[in-house]
Amino acid sequence: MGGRIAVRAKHVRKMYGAGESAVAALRGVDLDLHEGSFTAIMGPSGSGKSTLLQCLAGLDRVTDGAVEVAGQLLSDMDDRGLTALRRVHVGFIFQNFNLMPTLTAEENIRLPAEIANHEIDHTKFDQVVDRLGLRSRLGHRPSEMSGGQQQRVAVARALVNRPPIVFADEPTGNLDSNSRTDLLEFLQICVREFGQTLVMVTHDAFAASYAERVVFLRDGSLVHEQSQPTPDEVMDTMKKLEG
Amino acid sequence: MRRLFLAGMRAYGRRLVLAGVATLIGTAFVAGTLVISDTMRANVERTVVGGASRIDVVVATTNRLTPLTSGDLDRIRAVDGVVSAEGLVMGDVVVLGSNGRPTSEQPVGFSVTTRTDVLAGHAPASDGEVLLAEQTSRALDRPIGSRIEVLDFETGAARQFVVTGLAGVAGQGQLALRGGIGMTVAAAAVTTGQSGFSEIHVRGADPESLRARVGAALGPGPFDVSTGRDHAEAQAASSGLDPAVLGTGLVTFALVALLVAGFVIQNTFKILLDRRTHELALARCMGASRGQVFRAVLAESATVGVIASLLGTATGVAVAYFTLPLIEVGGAALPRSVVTVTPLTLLVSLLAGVVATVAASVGPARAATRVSPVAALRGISAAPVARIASRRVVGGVVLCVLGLLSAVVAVASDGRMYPLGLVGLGGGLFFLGVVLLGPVVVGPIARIVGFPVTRLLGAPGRLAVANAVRNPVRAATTVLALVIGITLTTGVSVITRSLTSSVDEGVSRVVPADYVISPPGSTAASTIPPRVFGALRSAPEVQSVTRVREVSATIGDSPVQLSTIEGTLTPTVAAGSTAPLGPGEVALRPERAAELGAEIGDKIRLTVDGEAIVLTVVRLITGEPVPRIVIGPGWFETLFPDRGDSAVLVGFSSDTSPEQSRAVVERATAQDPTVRIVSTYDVRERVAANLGQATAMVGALQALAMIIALIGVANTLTLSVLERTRESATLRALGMSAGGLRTMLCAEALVFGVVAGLVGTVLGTAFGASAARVINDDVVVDVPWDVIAITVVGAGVATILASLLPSRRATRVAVAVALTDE
Ligand SMILES: Nc1ncnc2c1ncn2[C@@H]1O[C@H](COP(=O)(O)OP(=O)(O)O)[C@@H](O)[C@H]1O
Ligand SMILES: [Mg+2]
Repeated sequence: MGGRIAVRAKHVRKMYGAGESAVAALRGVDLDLHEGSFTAIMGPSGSGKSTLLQCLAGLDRVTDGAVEVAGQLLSDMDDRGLTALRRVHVGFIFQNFNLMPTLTAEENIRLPAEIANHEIDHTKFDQVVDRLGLRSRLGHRPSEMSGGQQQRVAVARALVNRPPIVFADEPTGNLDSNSRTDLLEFLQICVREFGQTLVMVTHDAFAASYAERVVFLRDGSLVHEQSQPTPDEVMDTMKKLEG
Repeated sequence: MRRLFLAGMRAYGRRLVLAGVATLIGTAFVAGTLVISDTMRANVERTVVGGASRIDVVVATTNRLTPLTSGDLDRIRAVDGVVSAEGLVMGDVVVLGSNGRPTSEQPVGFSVTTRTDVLAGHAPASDGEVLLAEQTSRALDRPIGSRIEVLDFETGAARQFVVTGLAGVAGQGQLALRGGIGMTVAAAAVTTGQSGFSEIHVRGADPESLRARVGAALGPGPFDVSTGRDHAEAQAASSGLDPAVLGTGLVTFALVALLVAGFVIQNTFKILLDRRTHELALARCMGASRGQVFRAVLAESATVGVIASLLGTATGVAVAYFTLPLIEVGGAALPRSVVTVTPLTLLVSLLAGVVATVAASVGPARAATRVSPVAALRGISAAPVARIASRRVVGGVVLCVLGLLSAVVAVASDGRMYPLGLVGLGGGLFFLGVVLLGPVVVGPIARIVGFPVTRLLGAPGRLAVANAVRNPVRAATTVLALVIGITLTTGVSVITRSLTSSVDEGVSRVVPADYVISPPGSTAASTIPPRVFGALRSAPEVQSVTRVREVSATIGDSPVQLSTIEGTLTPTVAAGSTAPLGPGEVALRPERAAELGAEIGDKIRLTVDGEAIVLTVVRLITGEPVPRIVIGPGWFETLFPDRGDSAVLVGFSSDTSPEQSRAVVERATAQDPTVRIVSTYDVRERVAANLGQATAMVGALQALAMIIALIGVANTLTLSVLERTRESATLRALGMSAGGLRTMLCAEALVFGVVAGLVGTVLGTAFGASAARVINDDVVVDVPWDVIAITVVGAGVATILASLLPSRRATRVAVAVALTDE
């Protein structure tokens, strides 16, 4: 894979707590993610997947090492800079959808643009909404939608501004198998058609098999990597890691 | 369940602190007000006992006007068992300031008796020495050893005195209210112009039997003989604010404060229990009964109630103890030794705090028992918002209608059937209706209020408005706590402002002049020399000047005044001829004519100085300042050529300032400094100041209710922020800045504040205006827009302040929280 680096982690270490109760969640992770790539981060529970994602996305500060997003060094930025970065460069998809319960689907989708005081491009909005089959749901509130629908709204919210980089933490974790397949296919399309960079944390081998590249974490270190694996290949690796 | 309760206290104890603060303030207020009213009562008792210890029997006349004579004094001195008896000469005196003009505060002149409480120095030993009431000495800046000038009543010449002592006058009626200057009997007689005694103070053994013997010795007559104790009590009662009334007022406000605290506590428990639905459901799954859940919640609130009430009572007592001695009551500061803290006060305020807290938590506790065990299996995110029962809506509407009806009936009833109580009842019913309807109406109102907020602030504004009304019951409770304070503030200011305006208007109607000049003494013999009228008539600034002259007369047995009026102001002719009054002709006010049974054309017969005058009634007249029996000025001059004026009324054009007009009046009276000058400016100012004091006091008390309510706003927001931690983090992840998050919470608080401001001012204005109407039928309802604007803006600003702490907490949330599972 050629192309420029979208996200780069260098010797990233992350400690939680201090003194005797300190936990090392990441123990020196090096990782380059190319623009337009679809990467899955796999690993057993507690291996540091979420921590890595948070550090890559600038949601949390690293203890040691450096993270670069879109060519900017995160450790140089203050809260203001990070906010600006999130507005322009980054989109998020959460395991629990995290929709605003008081807003309708459409309002939720438009929220990031509204927060950033951007105008939303109508064609992009229509394109994403139609692609996700949300047209008839736009006036509904989250409490009136199924989990699959809610996650699709959340995906639309993350994508409608076309952020160059999208982070997803267990996006399929709360979905049934049909919704899961729909979502993964859609994410794959985004990378292909819109050229967005996608980083997805998952512990589901089937989900990981949609990615071009799967990296494996154990005890806070990158231990293995596979290119375009099948679900079974991923499963085997996981078994070895857990065993 | 003890476990569950203890675990709850550990986990949520900190969240309960704010609810506890609300109880604390409410309880402190109850304790403080009880201490204040007990202390006031104790202070009255103290002055009564003090007064009674110095005199045993007091003699006065029943009408208080005809003085007692030295003959009466001699007869009392002769009574068996009387140790001493002294006449009290008392009356108005004119004290000169350093500029040689009468001072604006005029103390009462009195002769020193055994009743006088000498605090410093000594009582006057000669006619050239005086004793000043403590507050008079301070107000006039005349310490012991300084000189003071008082006018001789007869001659109007200034007499010099030396101040030799200070007297305590607390609880002594007029003296307490106006201050006093104590002299020897002779000096008091000369300066007050009083020929006799207004009271005789007697010392002797056993007041009761002495009273009977003195009464018997005086025989039949207009005598009022009382014991020193009864006399002191009567005087204390007329020395200012009645402690009983004050106490009732304060306790009412304390109850309001507790009510507001109750709202805050109720909301806190409701929110906390919403958050614990999962936990409670789990307890139910594991076999806890409804009763156990209920008792666990009540145990929590009782714990909070007890701790907060203990602290609150201590705070209230401490505050009262240290501030009471700063307050002046009846003309003297309260000594700390009088501050009274009774066991009953402690008990009542403790109980009030605990009961209010526990009662406020009963509703949320009952709701908690309705959590079904199944809820444990569901996620917690969808805590179901209680549906609003239609019974509630119907009840609310019915109560509001009843409230309005009783206010309307009260206003329409023209003062029959306890109208003020009816307005109060109406206000209460309406408020209860609003409490029930609150959750239904708060949403729409907030959305209207929030519209500009959304437009102005974009995403944070939109989210804020949506969040504010997300849980209508919670929003309504938060708002209502604020509404109480705002309603009372506006209501009271509408009432006082209306009454002030009405007094202003009333003063102008009764006294159609800017200055009224009256004679120096209160006897019928004292008059204003005619040169004052003359000087004013020729002054260019004066727009109108009128004089009234009078002589004492009798019709049959009853004393009357025979008057004439001359100058700019003329009587309105109600009936009869309009030609100038000729000799032998008289005009009567209708009420006087009715009393005399005289009609136009009838003759009436008066006696002046033993000479009979027969007058023919030719007309009925009304208007101000028209005396009751009026003859023509020309004929009056012929009959009583040397008679001075009894009153001169002066009016100035509206472009003359009060200072300019006063200078003109002072010039005109320069040769007669003894005359009294009363300006209606002063009267209006005094009335405004009096009502202003009442308003300020009520305002201070209401500020407290507002503070409790604001704690409620802070509380609701804090708990909401905790509830929405994940949402805040998500918003940050979606690109909202920390400032945006703060703005959002500010806007949410502002929505509460403005909704409460609107509802409160509407309620307060409506019921305040009704109350003003029933207090006084001809009241000019004057809505104080300035106060209302300040209240609404103040409520907005205050709620924003209340949001600062919660919003700091919200911005400290780590953005990574958005990614966590729970
Ligand atoms: N906020 C935190 N405070 C302390 N320890 C944490 C925190 N978040 C994660 N950890 C610890 O860091 C390690 C990695 O956690 P996480 O990144 O959530 O793993 P994963 O997402 O792979 O399950 C775990 O041992 C976890 O207990
Ligand atoms: Mg995780």
